[in-house]
Amino acid sequence: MNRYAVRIGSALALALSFQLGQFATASAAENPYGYDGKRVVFETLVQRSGGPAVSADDPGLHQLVRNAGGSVTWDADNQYVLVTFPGPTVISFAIGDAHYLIGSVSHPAAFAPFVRDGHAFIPLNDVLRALKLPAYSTAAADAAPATSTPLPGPVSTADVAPAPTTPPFATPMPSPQPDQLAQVTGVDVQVQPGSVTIRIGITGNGAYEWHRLRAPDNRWWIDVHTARLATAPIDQNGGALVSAVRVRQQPADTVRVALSLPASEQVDVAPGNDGITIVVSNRIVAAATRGSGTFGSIATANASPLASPAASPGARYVPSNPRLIVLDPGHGGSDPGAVRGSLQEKMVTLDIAKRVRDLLVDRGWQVVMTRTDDRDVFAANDSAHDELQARDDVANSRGARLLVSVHVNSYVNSGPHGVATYYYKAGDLALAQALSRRIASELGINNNGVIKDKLYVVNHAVMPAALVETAYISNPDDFALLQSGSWRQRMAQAIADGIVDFTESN
Amino acid sequence: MRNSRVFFLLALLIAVAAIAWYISSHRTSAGEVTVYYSKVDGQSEIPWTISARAQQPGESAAAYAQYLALYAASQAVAGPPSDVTAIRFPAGTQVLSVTVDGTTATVNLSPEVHHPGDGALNESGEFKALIWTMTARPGIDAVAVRVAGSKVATLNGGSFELDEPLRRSDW
Repeated sequence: MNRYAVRIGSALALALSFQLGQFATASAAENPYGYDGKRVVFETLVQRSGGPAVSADDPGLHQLVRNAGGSVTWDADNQYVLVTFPGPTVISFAIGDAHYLIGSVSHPAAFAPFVRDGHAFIPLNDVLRALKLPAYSTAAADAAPATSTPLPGPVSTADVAPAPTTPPFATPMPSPQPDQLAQVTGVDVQVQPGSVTIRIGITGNGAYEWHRLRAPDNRWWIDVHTARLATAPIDQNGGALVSAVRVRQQPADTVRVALSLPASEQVDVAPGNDGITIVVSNRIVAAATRGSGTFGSIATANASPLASPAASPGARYVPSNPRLIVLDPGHGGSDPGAVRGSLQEKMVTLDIAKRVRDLLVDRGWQVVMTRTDDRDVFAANDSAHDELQARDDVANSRGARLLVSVHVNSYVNSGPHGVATYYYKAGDLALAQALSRRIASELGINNNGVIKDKLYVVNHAVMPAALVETAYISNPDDFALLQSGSWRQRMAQAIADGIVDFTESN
Repeated sequence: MRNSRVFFLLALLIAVAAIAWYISSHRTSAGEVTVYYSKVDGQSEIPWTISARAQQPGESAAAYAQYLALYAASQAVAGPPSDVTAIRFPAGTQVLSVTVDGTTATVNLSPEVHHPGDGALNESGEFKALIWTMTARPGIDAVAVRVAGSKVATLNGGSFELDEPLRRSDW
């Protein structure tokens, strides 16, 4: 009875949302957008929970961007939309990624761009925000009088880094209000013989999804969307079956419940009116490794017994963000890495990675760095496992195309010198080779070639990954190179070229 | 008279054979282990054959194999003679224990193995030497590493992964 009630409720909710979507589309199409005495009609607007979405081939969008001296490109093969301006400044949206880039600076998007009937839809107000134009709203547009806001040129990277605390427009962005978000109120862990029951208390309705990270990593993530963590971050022990239960607020209104399991166990996730119940048991059955559903008064659930592509070591990796490159500057914060005199590995790796980022962004790539300043990625003085996994998480959670980690080598004497490129998984080899080829051809440094090695960051990245040990800080000649800004620029150029080479042939 | 002489020689021959069999079956034979050290190129190993003590009277084969495993691990961690260029474990690193369960040997190292600042060359070379050495022992094909009795993901500040048993195929 209850199950039928849930299904009927879900159907009604879906039907209602469909009707609202249709209404919003019609309403938006009838309301032009005004700026600087001009009017633009967006013909393809659809309303999403985070705000209006516009197709990348909408004539109104093209007119708006063209007036600012730019252009819009939708690359269906690589699943990204670029809004480019002379300079160059590139605003980059990737399908499925709830972040977009202006130059090299990442910003949270109102919602993840999506594809419908072959057309890519992007958050309109994020584009307008980047152009420093007022946000679009049907109510404001209905009033018709065009605003006197001048149409500025494209913003530069410097203009938006860091993101302004006060939006340069009067109309607030249509992001979910705090009172519209579900509230994660707490976690209750009950340990029984042979099982652990974890109840996530949630008020309100919403959606969730869960999956196991790539084997052999035996962590499970349950992401509660459009939700706020109403308590302090939670860390609990779940007995012998669950070594840790962690609850954290993530960006984009997501609360993540992370379970660490010391051994392979069955995990069941079931939604209810007041939250989500997770049961971890040591039954030996064919268990699901991912699923999704809704909670609250519209509770539904589904789970897949099929492992995700990332969970199958032999499966070819398909990035959800094929235009996204993740760069990992080694060490940082409480961990200086190798040190010689005043030169610290963590600062050299950060400098080189930033240079690589800038080079790739200039070529239109999205780039996310695991850190952009001198800090630990997970926490100060954390364990090596937490720190390294946090770096992999940056790439894994975004579905990046590839990951490159930048390091500086060290040895107990001054003998060894030169660069080496490390890989581990079979899918890493081509990337490591591409990097090594470019480094060998573009730098006069001794090239120790491509080496297979079980390095944590490389092994636990679900995508092709490689680690470049750029030079030996322990060798006097290499030490001099590492101190040279021009040499670091050449190294960055070689790494960027190697990355592009890899993407063009894989 | 002639028959008694033949009988005596035959008895003497049998006695000599019995004594020879007894001596050979109870003699302690000197042992040896093969230890690998990693060259500084990070790509190749130097195999060394090192003498070990002989199996002692009354010492079981299992106990002697256990001794050889500990001895081999200790030699790999100690490194070659000082005039040989090779990648070495950090000074002071010791093997606290070696246990063998099935085909996996667990090597417990002292905390001195943590040496922040070591690069990939050092860490990879150290453990490559240890894993090559241990998997040269009969019946061992994987090596689990512990530090002061605990499982670790990597060494402090390092990046070489240690939380799962290592095999030669990891290189």
